Amino acid sequence: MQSGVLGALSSRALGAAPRQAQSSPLLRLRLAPGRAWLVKGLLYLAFAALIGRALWVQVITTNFYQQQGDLRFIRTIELPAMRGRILDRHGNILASSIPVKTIWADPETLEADPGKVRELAQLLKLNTAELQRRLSLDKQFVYVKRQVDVDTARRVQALGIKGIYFSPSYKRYYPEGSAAAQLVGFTDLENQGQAGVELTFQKDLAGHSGTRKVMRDRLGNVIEDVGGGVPPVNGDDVQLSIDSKIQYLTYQALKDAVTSNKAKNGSAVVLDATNGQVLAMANYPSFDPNHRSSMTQSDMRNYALTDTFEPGSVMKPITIAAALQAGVVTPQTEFHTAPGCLNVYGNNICDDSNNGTIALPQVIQYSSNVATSKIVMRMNPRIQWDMYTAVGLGQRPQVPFPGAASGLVRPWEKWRPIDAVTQGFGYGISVSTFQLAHAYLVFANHGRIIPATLLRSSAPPQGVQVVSPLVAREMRSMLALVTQQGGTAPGAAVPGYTTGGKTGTAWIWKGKGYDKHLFRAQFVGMAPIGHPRVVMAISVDQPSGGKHFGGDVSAPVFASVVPQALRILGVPPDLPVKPDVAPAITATANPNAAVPPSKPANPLHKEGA
Amino acid sequence: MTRLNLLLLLIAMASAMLVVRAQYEARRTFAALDAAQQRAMQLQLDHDRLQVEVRALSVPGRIEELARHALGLVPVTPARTDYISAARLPSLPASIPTR
Repeated sequence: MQSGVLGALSSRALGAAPRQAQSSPLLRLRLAPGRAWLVKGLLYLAFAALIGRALWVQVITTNFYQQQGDLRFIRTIELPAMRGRILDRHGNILASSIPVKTIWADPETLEADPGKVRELAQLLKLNTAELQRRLSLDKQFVYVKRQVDVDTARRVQALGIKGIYFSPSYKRYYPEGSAAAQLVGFTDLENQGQAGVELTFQKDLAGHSGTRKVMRDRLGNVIEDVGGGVPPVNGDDVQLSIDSKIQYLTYQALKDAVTSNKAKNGSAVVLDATNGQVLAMANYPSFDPNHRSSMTQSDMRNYALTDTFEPGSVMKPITIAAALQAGVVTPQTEFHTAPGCLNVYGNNICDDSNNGTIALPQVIQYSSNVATSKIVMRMNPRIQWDMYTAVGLGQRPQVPFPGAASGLVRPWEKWRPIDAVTQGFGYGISVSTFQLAHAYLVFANHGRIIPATLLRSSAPPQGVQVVSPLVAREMRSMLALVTQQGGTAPGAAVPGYTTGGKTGTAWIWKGKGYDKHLFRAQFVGMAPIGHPRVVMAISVDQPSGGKHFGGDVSAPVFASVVPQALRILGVPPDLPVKPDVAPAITATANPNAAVPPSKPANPLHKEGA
Repeated sequence: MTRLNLLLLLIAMASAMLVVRAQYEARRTFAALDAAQQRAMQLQLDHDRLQVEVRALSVPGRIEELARHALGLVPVTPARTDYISAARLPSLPASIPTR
């Protein structure tokens, strides 16, 4: 049925068309043959144009189009290198980078009502009015806040403000805070080392940032690695020889000494006597490297290495060791120091009191300027100078730290006779606290001087024999007298360990002469004196709290740090101690054995109660 | 001849489809790999951050503060230390740190 209708329709239509064409003059085709060729030609031309264009695009100018395509889809991503950490000798972190967010805004596309801005300001602890002002600037980029911790950034993200963006970055964090601030140093917002070890080892710590070339789709997802990128190289860790516990103890003790004596500043250095490694280097005043807004220039100074001063009597053992080594004196040599003053080349040199006739050990014990002057006058200045330079005075310490001071030891040829004498007891010469500690290594390390180092190393140190082991031992036994009753620093005695050292209290040069009301208090000591394990030097500038002697101001720092340091280093006591608690249950004893109830086995229980 | 052409056309179309699919799969797998790498990096960063946090909680200053004030402890002195020579020590389990 259907096909019949269709057939009828088509036959009618076919029949109708020629009839209409014949009847209508308009539909009668009378085309000139050239016109057909023209249309054909135009069509060919169009095809030729297409082919030409294809050739142009795909063969001749391919590079240009390839570049334009790459520009739209291929991105080079910057891969930042992670800055290396600074570690102490046990691998504890002294400085490390933590990921943070930089929050920025595009004020042109920002969509935030005043309520949202207020919330944002509260979250980031910013001033609302100031933030509002910045967000209404006619710019496409303003920082909202840099170095925002990840949790806060997440909360800001949750506010869902359009036009606020987050980019990843790193922030340096210093867990030790102010205890090692000057030594470790700090970095700026761009993660460049600005001070201390952070500055010295900038190259090693920084590493190299890398790049990655990727293809992104319309939504910004990475869909292909194009290649041609450079992988980032993370910075190396730097391991220092510092022991963070000893560092903290030293800083605390020094801080107490400086504040209780109302001093201007103080510095202390603890060295491992066996290998010259720096166990602690502390300074006060200090700053918290994590919050540097209130930091001053003087807080930043690593006084122990960068500041030099006239050391005073702590030089005497070094001078006397030179004399002993040269055979100018022996431990039995006696000196007449009465009446307590001596006129040398027109200058009056005095002791604190009249010591009468004393032997060499007492010269150290009582710190006699008169006897030391007499020793120096018997000695060739060259010998004295050789000794000073051999122990590292007047030379820049070979430690990787910016601005380490060399101090001043003038060439012996230029000394006037009085210069040799005054330098013998520490005036007319300048040293740093670090140099003092290092110089005393010669006594602690059996007459050998080894280079002091800030980096942890297991290689045995290469030393130079400066004085004989016998002279070093004799000197140590003299230094031991100083910390005993009758010496100048009984305050440096510690329970359980033998100690030795030398005090120094120097006047400070002001204008044209020494100000006899301004002092610098030094103490350099070592323990245990038989086989020293640590050498510690302390210098406190201008104590004004009533005490000013090295034995009163600086020696207590030694006494509070050294026993703890020796315990941390695992050095057993070399003096008998009267236990003030019952011995704990030994490891071999039966833990269930009865313990007298009046003597608790664990001393901590007793203290805690 | 027509049949062969049809067959070839079918094969060509199928292979074209497979190419599209393979491309799609490759990109999807790459995206997954990239996400996993990003996550690994993020975890590494978190690990570093947590290590720093652990250190921040165990710095000597904080421990001393807690020991002195919260627990009422006092510094160890040789007078209240029982020294045991290493020879008398029974061997400790490896899990006990000695430092």
